[in-house]
Amino acid sequence: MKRYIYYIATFAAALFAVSCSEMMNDAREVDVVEKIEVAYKVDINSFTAADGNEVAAPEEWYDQIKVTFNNFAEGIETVVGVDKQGVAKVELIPGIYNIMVSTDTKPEYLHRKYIINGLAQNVPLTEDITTIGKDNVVKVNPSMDSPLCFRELFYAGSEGWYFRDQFYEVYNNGDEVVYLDHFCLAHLVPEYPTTALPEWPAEDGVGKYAYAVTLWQIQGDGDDYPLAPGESIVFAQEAANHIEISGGTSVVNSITDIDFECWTGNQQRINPDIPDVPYVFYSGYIVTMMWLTSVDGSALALYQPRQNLEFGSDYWQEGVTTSAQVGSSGQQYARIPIADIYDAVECIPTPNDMDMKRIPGFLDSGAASVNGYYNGKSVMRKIDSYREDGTPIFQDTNNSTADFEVSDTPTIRRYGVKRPAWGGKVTE
Amino acid sequence: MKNIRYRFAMLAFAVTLLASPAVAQEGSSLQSIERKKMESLWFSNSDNAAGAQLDQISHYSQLGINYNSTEGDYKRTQLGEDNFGYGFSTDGGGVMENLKGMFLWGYFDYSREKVGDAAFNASLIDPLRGMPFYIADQNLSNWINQSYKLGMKAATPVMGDHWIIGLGVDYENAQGAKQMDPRPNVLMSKFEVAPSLVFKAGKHSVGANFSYFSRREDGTASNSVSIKTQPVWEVVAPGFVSAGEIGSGTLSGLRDYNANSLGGGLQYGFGGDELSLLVEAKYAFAVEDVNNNYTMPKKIGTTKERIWDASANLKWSMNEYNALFAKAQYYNRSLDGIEYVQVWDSSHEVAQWVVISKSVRSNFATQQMNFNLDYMNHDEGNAYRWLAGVDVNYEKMDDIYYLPLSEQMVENISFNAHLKKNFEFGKNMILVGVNGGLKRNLDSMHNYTGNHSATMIYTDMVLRDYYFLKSDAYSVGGEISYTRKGIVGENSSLFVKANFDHQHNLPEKPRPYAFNGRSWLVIQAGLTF
Repeated sequence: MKRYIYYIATFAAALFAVSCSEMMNDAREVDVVEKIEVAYKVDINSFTAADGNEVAAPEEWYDQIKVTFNNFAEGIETVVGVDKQGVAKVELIPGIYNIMVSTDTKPEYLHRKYIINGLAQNVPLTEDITTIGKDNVVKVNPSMDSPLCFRELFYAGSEGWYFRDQFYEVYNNGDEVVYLDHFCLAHLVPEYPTTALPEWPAEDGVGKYAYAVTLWQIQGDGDDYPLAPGESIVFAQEAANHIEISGGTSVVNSITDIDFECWTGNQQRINPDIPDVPYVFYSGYIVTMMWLTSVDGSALALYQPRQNLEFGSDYWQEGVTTSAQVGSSGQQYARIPIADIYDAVECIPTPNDMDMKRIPGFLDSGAASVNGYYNGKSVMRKIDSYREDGTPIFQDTNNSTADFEVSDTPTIRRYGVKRPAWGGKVTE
Repeated sequence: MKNIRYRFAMLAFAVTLLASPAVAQEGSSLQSIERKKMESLWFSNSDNAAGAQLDQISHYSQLGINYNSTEGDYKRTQLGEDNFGYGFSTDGGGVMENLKGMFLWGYFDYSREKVGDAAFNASLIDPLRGMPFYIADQNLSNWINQSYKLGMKAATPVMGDHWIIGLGVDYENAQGAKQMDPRPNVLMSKFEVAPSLVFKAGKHSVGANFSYFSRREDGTASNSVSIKTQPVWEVVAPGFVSAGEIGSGTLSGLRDYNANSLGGGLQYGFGGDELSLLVEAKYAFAVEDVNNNYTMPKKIGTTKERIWDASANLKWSMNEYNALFAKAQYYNRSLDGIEYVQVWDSSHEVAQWVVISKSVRSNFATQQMNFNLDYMNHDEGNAYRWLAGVDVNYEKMDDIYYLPLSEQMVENISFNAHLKKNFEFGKNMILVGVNGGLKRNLDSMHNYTGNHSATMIYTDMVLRDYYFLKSDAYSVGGEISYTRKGIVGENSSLFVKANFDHQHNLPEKPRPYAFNGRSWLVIQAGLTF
């Protein structure tokens, strides 16, 4: 017995000595940090112009492009332009970077404005990269400027673990009436902020689809819900006086004048005065007690499928309108063509959690955050300018980090934003 | 493991209380023990336990309880402003004739302290121990810290007229509990072993020792009020942080520290009738890893520390009643802060963080040169009558963060003097001591290029600490003790003792931070025998 104890003790001591010496040797070999030289190419894909033709990006667009190398862990941001070949050259400290492509002004083609956004996320840059290869290219899909945008998102809830006061406001930021019929409020996957991104089928391609866990649709005949410039609609899980219900902890006074509740079946909480939008897609288990998005921040999109959809109908076909993650049990998620998304906003727990970003950079190259949860704060879009009628035009560069600011007083329809004439109580 | 610790504690404790004096001696007292330690050059100034045999320390023991209180704002920011605590300590040993002349000595210390209003620390029991990777929060908070520390030194008799083998062992266990969210319960344990050897030839001796320690410290900053998140900074160097929230997002409040150190020393000693000399040079290399998760660790950083230390100690017995003690020391510490670039690899069955690059991002260097001179006057007894001394201490602290380049340098010198008079009336002794000092800044520089110059952790901590470190100050203090001999036994004595010290800022103009002073009070009572 003693002999075995001796052997075990000797073996343990040897293991310990090896691990200790390995730890010391690892540290001994480390050199002092030096800057690295990095070249990164911006490649703007061809796009469908307003006349329907497929065209290549005009050369002069490259003059407007700036590339931001953002090392969020260290709070270091380096912004450079690109040369005629679209190559940005920069000296950086080794680290993990988000490489964001953007323009200060929206470039035009055939009198229509386009948004040029791209993002390469969580790229490890640790040594010199001076020649362009497949690993140091950011592909950019120009998207036609959309009139619709999310104006304010209150997802964090209020003190006292109160989350029933969440709301999402959608605004017409353009100069023409938009019909909201068929528009879907899509809750994108992953549902909760995470650094572990799912893998989707290779046949879906890269940057062609986004995926949603729920779709709530405004159903109509095509011209039932006009939204004029300067008007907005508000979705909420519950149209109610939340200060009263929460016992005073909610920061949202009364949102009984919202436009749609996202109804899942909880009759006890329903407000009969406010119309419900139905879920037309719901992945997995349907939570019937409430519609709750993550208080740590979700990613939401406005999706236009151009038809009324129905939950459980034949429209939903695996590999066509739905898709499952690689290596999963086969749970299906709504498969949304990127071109049919009018706006998307990514919300993350804190501004330092950019490594939890979930959706492609050309939908939202940044992310908004209220820096915590249950803190009674919302994110709202910054004002860019005003129309002649006094309604605001909000900043929309598809970069939520830049476009949004935090509000301590979540409020629907602030800054003189109007409500559409059809909005509000059910009249039938 | 608990059983081993218990046995070790009992052994150390027993050594301190061994009640078989080696030689007939006079009554023991605080002053006699202080003198004994000053005269024992190897025991007091070297890690070489074998060398303690050459000091031929006669047996002693002391044990006591203490109360201490610290108050004032003239301090590093992370220290508490208003602290108090109590403790128990004992140490003792000597050459044991009944163990064939073996030297045995041990100690045990227990302390419990309430640290009041400490700032910018949610990870470390001792935030000033030189660890740059930790979590700092925004709340002033109390900490309840307690620790016990025990250890022993043992040395064989001189074998074959030349050889002495020695061993030093120390174990420390500490706990620190922060009292306000985000609140970690930090546990620390440290085990240190130092085998040693001395070769003695006449009055000359040479020695060598090896030293190793392992230290673990870990705690998780979490919220007991989970409804509210707490803003914190993940610190990698002063002013270089990333902000986050405990309770939201991916930030882990855990800091798991694992340190190993290897080192050694070489000594030369001369023991003459009048003159004794000990020269020592030692080196230690320590590496400490910091992770933020036990099961899927992400490396927060690593420190690589090199310490060089050289000292010369001289004891000159001028005549039967007077002696001079001199010590010159050079200390050089260089600590590299290594940071990692890591990616999350989920491609394997066991997902993990993979290090793809690492580099030294910071260095913290300290150089010290100290010179101490003490004069002792005594009579036939084993205590002293007068003890007077001066010391000069030079210190240069050089910190650098390589990219983006930020630097800080502070160069200080301090002069201190102390005087003690021991009055003896039969079985009673009263010791009165005074001390005073002056600290002057010789040079300083601070250049910060980080992104957080407007945040609290820079303005209220980094910059404040810089101005504290470079500030001029004076210090005054005193001690008084009463000793009554022969209460428990012939060789024993009972003592009560109080020390008071005060340090005060000599304000510069303009005065960017309103420092005042800081006071320390220690009251002790106990037995020596």
